[in-house]
Amino acid sequence: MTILTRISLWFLPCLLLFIPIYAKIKGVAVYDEFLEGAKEGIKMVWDLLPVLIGMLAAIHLFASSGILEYISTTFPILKEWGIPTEILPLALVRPLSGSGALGLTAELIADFGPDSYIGRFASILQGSTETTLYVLTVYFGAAKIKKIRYALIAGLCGDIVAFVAAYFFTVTFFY
Amino acid sequence: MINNIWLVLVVTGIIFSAMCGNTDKIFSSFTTGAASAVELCIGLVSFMAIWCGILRLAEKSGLLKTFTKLLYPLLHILFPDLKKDHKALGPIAMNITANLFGLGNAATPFGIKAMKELAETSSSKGIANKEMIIFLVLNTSAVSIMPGIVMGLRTEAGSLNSAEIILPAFLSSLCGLLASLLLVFILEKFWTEK
Repeated sequence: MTILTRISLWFLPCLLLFIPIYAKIKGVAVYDEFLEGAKEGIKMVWDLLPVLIGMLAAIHLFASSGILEYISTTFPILKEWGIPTEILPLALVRPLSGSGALGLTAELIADFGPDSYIGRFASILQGSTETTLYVLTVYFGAAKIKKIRYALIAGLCGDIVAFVAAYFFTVTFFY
Repeated sequence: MINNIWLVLVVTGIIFSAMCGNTDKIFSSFTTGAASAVELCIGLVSFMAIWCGILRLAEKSGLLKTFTKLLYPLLHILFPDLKKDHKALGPIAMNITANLFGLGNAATPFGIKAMKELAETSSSKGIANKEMIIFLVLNTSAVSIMPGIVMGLRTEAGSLNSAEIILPAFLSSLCGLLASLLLVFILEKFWTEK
């Protein structure tokens, strides 16, 4: 998988080269627009700050309470399958809350390192699915849908498959 | 929903800490968590500023629009029953593009618009039809070729190659999406509403 690693290593620099040149050709004031975008990015993080403070405080409290050790001794089977218990809260929270999942991912990446097994697994899991319940509430709420029929089942089923796939691809790509 | 999750985390955290004899750590771990959030955001702000700046160039140069046009053939496969000039197709394409580029926040307004258009042309008001559910699972699986925020977190934590997770994450979400779609096509045939 070294070729893939190399491609991914070149992916961002190429993007960084191509987009500004293309924009320049199209007559965009590249630096001015870049700054406008940067402003939006900063605002995004600013809005994220209180959310992360609230969530990381709660998650930190939860994770250091000893409950994860309790779960891993109660369900040793997960360890045998190679699924680390640390990842479980993330898998459970991912479909329910975007900020909660983001907080958990940030915590796992910081604790275990971004290039560790758990760090990669968490990154891939976080990047591979959305907050199913939130999307359903917002979209169907806006369209005034009362009967959702099998929508939730289909969405959650996708989440489960994505979790299994995330585990599979973490192992095949990196180990 | 988020309110309950937060409460459950805090309450079980405190109860378990007390049971495991970690009572002295309860408050300190709460504040360390908050402090780590502040540190994280300081690191994240530089990455997101650059990222959104570049994406803004992609948007202003018409690159995102070109991309959207490329998606139209795909839409006819996903929504075979929609007419070619259906009003929902434009916002659907924009929504998918935004998702692909990891712009969750930008995807939502287009998604809402598309869902409303789909609802308006539906014969049975207030009931989700097949097209709506297909569009929904497109968004719940959020297939992305650039999960910006995750890469930001990894860069900030000192990853040697923060982009290495792009392809596996893309493939994972594709698997999730295909499973959802398969289920939609199966359940559409058998689902009966009481």
